[in-house]
Amino acid sequence: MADFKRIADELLGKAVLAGALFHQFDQKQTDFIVKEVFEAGFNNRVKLAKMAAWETGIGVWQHKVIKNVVATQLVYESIKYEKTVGVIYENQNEGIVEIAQPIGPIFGIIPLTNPTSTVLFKILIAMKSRNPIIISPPRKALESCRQTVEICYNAAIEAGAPEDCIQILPEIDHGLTHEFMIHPKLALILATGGTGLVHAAYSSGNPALGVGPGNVPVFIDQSADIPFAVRNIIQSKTFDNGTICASEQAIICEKSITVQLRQEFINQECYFLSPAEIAKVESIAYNKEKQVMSADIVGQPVQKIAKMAGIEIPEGTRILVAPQEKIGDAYPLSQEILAPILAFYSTDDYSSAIKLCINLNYLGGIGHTACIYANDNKRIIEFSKIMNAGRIMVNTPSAQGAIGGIFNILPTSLTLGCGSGGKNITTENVTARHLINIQRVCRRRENKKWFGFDTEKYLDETISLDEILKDYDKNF
Amino acid sequence: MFKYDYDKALHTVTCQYSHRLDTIISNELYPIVTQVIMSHMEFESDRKLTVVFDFEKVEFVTSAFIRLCITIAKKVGEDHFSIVKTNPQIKKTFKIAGLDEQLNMD
Repeated sequence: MADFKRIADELLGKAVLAGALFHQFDQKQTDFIVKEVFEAGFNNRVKLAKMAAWETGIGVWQHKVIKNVVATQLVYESIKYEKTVGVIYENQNEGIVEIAQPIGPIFGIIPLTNPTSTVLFKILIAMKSRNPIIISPPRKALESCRQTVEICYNAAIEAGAPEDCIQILPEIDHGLTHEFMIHPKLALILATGGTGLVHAAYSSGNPALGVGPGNVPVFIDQSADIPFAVRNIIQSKTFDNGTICASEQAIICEKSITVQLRQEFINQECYFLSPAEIAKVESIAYNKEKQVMSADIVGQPVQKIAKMAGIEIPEGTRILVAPQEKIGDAYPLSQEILAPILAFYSTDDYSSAIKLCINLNYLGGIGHTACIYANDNKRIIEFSKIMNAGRIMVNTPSAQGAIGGIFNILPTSLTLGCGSGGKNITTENVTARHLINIQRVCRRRENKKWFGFDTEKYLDETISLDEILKDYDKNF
Repeated sequence: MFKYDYDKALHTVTCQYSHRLDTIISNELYPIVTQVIMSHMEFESDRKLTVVFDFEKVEFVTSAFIRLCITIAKKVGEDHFSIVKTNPQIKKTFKIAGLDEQLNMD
């Protein structure tokens, strides 16, 4: 324990100094560092992706290359023109000037499912906001995270960044992580990971930006282009074998289109499980005792999952589809499963479908992401108003859509805020602007109504609100 | 970049630095500053040398230069070391690093 304290003191001491030195950098110097780090990360995208896939045994290396591209090229595009240093906003009429200040040392917790891409992403937004960052890698992705940090750090130093602006934990231990999270010199925990870790971050006493778990319902409306919808869902759910938390978890439709939708999934090489096969898949996909998805199937190819479950599926199958009647703890495939497995619900009518979506949304995925395929704008808005989700994807593959930059103009991010529902402070895609303190310089601009009003009247309780407002709002 | 002055009566070395004290410059300065200070130390007596770093013209520092400050302060004793005429940005840098008081910065 004392050793953990010593390590935390040492690394955070260095980070504080790096943060202090960062204060001297102007926007141009900062942007140059960000550009150099982006290029270094981008140029190593394939190597780092292969390392991550090999080390974790999760996902598809080619898809991890794309994730690394998203985390470098697209993140860079989304932040490169953003003002993050000095005066970032000025309005003479309002008398307001906003000044950006770095927040200080950040503790970046990295998930096993997206290790190198999340490291690249968090380092880029930390550099853009002139904050030192300490990376906390998952045990099973330690080496690939180390390599990523080294590549970024060397590029940053070469570009003139302060020493120790990017560090990584020397060892992996919950006690050490805890020591960092509660450390008084830490400014912010940037937590992307499991529910327990994110909860620990919020309980640390230090500010935290975390993410909640996802359980993305996809409503396919009668007005949808069904082949298009299925193609997009497959594109999303098979991406890196379903490891993105914004990927689709359950398909919901009205019975009027069930046959057509089901056939389209079959046409596009998805396999509908029988009740007996569902039971077998449930047994390997979900740990009923702990009530969480099984780590063994996360990011695994569909053929491997079938083999683990002891079922035969056609060659070339892309997704296992499990028709479900109900949701809840007794129905494991109604929960978040980060693998190419989808739950499938057919309901009597539109109202039942939307109610089912809200139940799925609240079953472990509050505030995260929901998805709708429709061409009926009224229904899109109705669905969106009912869902509790930071992002509602419309006619879009939800995994690639939610992270922004490809299918929409959301800020590109690998940390997706889930709002109060996910116990987060924001529903936004976390980016560089969440890592700055904004100081507001307020020049005197008097409220004429206030100064034209006799405030002594507030002391007299016999004067009604209407009378006060009549006088207060008087415009001669 | 660097010049110094020795006040014999006060037994004080004042080192003046200027502009951007980046890592390369700081590493080059380290042996020079150390030599200057050692050449004025009276090792045979107990009389303590005072060292003053004049930052009037300093615009930018790196961790290498901060290490130089800390090393010299430790060698001469923190009571005999100070940093003067800092600009507000440099003052803030040392304040955030928690070093302004330790290094007797004005």
